[in-house]
Amino acid sequence: MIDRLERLTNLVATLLDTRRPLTLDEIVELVPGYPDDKLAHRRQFERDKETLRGIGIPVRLEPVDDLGPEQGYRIPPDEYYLPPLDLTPDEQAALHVAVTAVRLEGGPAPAEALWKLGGREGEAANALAALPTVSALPALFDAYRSRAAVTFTYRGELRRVDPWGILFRRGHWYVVGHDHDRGDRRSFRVDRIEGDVETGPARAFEPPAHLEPAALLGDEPWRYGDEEVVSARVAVDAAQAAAIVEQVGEDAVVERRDDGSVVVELSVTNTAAFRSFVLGLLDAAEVISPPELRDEMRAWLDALARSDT
Amino acid sequence: MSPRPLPGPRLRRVLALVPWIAEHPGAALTDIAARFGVSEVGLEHDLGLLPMCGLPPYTPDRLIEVEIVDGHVWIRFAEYFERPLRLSAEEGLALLAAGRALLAVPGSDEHGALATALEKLARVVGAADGLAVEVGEPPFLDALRRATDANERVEIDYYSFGRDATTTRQIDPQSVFHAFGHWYAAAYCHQAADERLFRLDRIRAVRPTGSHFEPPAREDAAHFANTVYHPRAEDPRVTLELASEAAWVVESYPSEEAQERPDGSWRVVLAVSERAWLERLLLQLGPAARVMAPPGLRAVGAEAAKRLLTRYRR
Repeated sequence: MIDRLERLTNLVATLLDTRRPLTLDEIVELVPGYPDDKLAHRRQFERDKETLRGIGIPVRLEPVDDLGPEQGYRIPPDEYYLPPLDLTPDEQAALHVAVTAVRLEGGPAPAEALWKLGGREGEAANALAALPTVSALPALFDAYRSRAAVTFTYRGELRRVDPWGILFRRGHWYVVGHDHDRGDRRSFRVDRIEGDVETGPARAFEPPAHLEPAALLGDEPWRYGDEEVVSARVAVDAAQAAAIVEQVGEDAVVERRDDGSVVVELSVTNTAAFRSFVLGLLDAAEVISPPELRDEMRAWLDALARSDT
Repeated sequence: MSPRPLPGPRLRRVLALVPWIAEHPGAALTDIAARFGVSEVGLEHDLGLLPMCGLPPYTPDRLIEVEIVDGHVWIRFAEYFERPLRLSAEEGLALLAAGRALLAVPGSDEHGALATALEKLARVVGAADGLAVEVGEPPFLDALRRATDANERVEIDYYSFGRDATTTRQIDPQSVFHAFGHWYAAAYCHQAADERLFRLDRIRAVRPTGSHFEPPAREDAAHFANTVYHPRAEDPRVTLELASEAAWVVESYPSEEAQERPDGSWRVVLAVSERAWLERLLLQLGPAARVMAPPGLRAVGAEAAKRLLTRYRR
């Protein structure tokens, strides 16, 4: 019996080498290892095709010729081959250091990530950083690099977005881009995308030139939102004051009290994110104004305080 | 019988091996195995398959030729595999994200080999400027990294969030790393007489002590680095029920068990070493989360809310 890996290797070679798309009958005839029974070999080929597509091999279904309705398969060489990177040994070694120092959790193992670039050159590095990954991230990255619009559910709403860029900041991945329904720039936390990301056709948009996702995202989570801007004042106790001033900037400080605490003023367009920020400081922070935001916080805490009965 | 390995990953490896060996005639099997992170037996197994592969009609002149002499290997007649397969989204993302993250670490060479490698890679992957990674720059990162490299004992002022107190302690920093958006120092703490993780953004001062410590074995440093994502056995486990809008928690923190229900809600088990961490999570999630077990922690969210409310009753 012919090893499945052998059949798959032959299948890739045959579909890469062919000048015109090959019909299923032709493939079964040419590539050894398919069962004789028509239903069985169709099923077998479907499985093989999924395996190839699963590792990123572009198996295309196209008309065999201009004359008839018959369809066949091929792998377009220009879509298969990795363009020459011409990495120097130093550059290969630097990438080896990078993938061993920084692990994308849930991503490919460091050795595997380098396979197509010629494997590991030089020494591995000690672990320095781990970035989390979330299920929607590869699909968003693929849509971004192929300039395809994406559709996904976010806070219960369907959003259509041209992904202009992807950014990792403060432990979270964000996608920034043009929101079709809002007709404006928006950013989304990737781990809060609900369900799958649907990807449209490639080359559907062109992101602005010299784009910097960091600049698009704005500075703080309480600004990633569509709500009307509210100026909120927060008192922060002495123990946390220095760290918070460093985070929000000296300009945001409106009062420094004798006990070492500070009052900072923040422009809020996302009250949920603002609430999370203040609550993250536990006992060390308090919303001072406006009254509506202070009341909202009190109501939120009240509900939670009553939840144990 | 043990389950057969999945063909996908092995095929990926074979399709990457063939172009490299063809381009490096006579490479040593030991070198290739090390380079591709595969055992020599596995490598010979992969290579053993190739002479059966080629193009129809599979006559000798259409098959791939593999020659192994004295531990060196040559591959011929595999022109259609002359280049590796394009990078998948996962691979491109892993490489670029890792590279950009490392470049963002203060002190890296912005014009060095990594930077030029990433430029070449970004062009090929089709991701010029649009993928960015920020890792932050806490004030004492450099001081702690230098102390770690030089095995220097240092004295730090550390703000403990859980206890809302600043303490001074002497530590032997064994590794410094970034995880979940924060920098940590894994160190032996002389006050606690135990290993501890310190968040760098909570270190308020670093002073040299003039003394040095014995560096741990490399495995130990790796073990330290793992502690932040691999909770300790003695950490309490908390079972949470999460509404569907809080499902992001499942992906954001290492959970030991996670079950999704048909209505989109989740039941997860998380290791919780600090009560303050759990308080923060429950306060932020509000009605979207509930502690199911252990019974002693069911009221953590409500108690924290009551405590915070005292500030709002004034």
